[in-house]
Amino acid sequence: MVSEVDSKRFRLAEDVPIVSPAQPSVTPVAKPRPVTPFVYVYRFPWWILFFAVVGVFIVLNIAVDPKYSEYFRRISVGINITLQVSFGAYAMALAIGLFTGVVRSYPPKPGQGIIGGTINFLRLILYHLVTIYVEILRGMPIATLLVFGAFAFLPALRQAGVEVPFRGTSVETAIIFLGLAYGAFLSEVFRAGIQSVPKGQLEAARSLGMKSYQSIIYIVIPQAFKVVIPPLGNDFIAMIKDSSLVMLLALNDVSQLGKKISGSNFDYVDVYLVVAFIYLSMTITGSLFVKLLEQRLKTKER
Amino acid sequence: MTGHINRENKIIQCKGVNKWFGKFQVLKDINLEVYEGEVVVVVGPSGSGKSTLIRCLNRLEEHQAGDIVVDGISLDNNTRNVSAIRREVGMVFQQFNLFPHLSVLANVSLAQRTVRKRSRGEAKDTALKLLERVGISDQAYKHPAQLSGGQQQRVAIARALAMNPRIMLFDEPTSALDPEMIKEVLDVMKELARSGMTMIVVTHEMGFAKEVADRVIFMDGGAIVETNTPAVLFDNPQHPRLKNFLAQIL
Repeated sequence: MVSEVDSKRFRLAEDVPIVSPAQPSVTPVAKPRPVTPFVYVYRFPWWILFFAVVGVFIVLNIAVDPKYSEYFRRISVGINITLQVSFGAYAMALAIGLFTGVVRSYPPKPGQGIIGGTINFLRLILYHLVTIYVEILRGMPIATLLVFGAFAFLPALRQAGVEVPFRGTSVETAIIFLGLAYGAFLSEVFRAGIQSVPKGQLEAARSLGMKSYQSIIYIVIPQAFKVVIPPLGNDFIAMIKDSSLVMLLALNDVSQLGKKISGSNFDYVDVYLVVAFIYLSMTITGSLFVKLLEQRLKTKER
Repeated sequence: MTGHINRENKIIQCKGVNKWFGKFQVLKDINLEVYEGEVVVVVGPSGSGKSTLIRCLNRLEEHQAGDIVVDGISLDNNTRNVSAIRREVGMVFQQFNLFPHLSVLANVSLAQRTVRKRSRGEAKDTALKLLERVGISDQAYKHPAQLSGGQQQRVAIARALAMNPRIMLFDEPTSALDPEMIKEVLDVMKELARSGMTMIVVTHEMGFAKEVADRVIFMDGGAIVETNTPAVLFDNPQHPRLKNFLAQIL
């Protein structure tokens, strides 16, 4: 009896078509998981909004309050020198840093002959000169360097009969010595960037017959540059702040004017609020610019 | 078999080549002659010195003893010789080594302009022609990262060919590729071999070796252990090390 039922069931089961009825030929298109509109809350640059709101508030305050507008009018005269020194010294530091960074990235190896080839030997000398420069300038306080440059080095040059077309306490001196100091820092930044480029890139360029300088200019530096933009931006902002050291040369930049005004009326709080505001406006603008540059250079690379 | 071999011209000659990495000897007394138009496949286990050998041929590595003469030019520390050699010897790498910051077209054009001193238009025409030849002319304006591995390797081949090299070196060109992309690269290499290019190929693709090679070299422990035509080498190996190697992979 049991077996009959079983066999019936079995037959029944057999009658059921094995192939299920035809599926709708169009398979439903998989939709991406719906994203909550809240995603924009995550994408929004809240920090920029913060600075914009606070900035507007401060600007209004300066415009309305006669004391603040007076301070701002007198201190903002120094922005000119601050920016001149910052941009000038930074441009110089970029050039020096790139050159010395490349030199230090490729220590020379000896070839044939007693001195290993003339060019190799000259490169050896250059390599060590550059290293000495980086180690000295990197380890010296910038204030010391500026004062030494303006009041010891340049006068000594003059005494030795060298014609120097600017005064010791001038924007030119500030640019040269700040540029030298920052060049030593940027040298290491560029070296790090160059080392981040895979070795195979240089090998590929060289195997195509490109000379080493061509490989470095066309292949290595463009890739290294992209890597070092964040630290370069970092150092640019540090440069704006360090340009305040030119007050040691009695140059009337933002810091020096702030010091003078607060020294005469003892209103340190309000004067230095204005000084801080001016510096922050410049540095945050710098940050935004760096961020923009980073996004522009973000191409379809891995 | 390519049938283009010019027995008159030994385009590569290695005599007693030795090389050490520190105390480790990577190349032991290598003697090798390659004729113009010949396709030589180098096989062997990892660490046997295959890659080092072909990297010595365009002086990406320096050998420390022996002589290497490529296309009549002796390889030594004379930099001008090295540049002259590299212009004539194209190389394709395992990891492609395309320039990621440049478009495909610029990858293929750059060295033509900087080394061969061709004009912008001429370099572009050559590049597009070669991209057509390797079957990716429609990708010319993309960046390497937007291409598949097989496509990237074909761009790398086009980039090397753009210099009109007399010799092509392939350093495991398919080892970093997904299985389905290996064929498209091997097809390009086969076409190149049939066109009469002198090729030295380090590979693990035994099918390619059997079909295309004029000669197969088996290396082990930094030395050339056995060399013969693919038919003889694969079907009638002599050296026990080679027998063992073939038993492992076939």
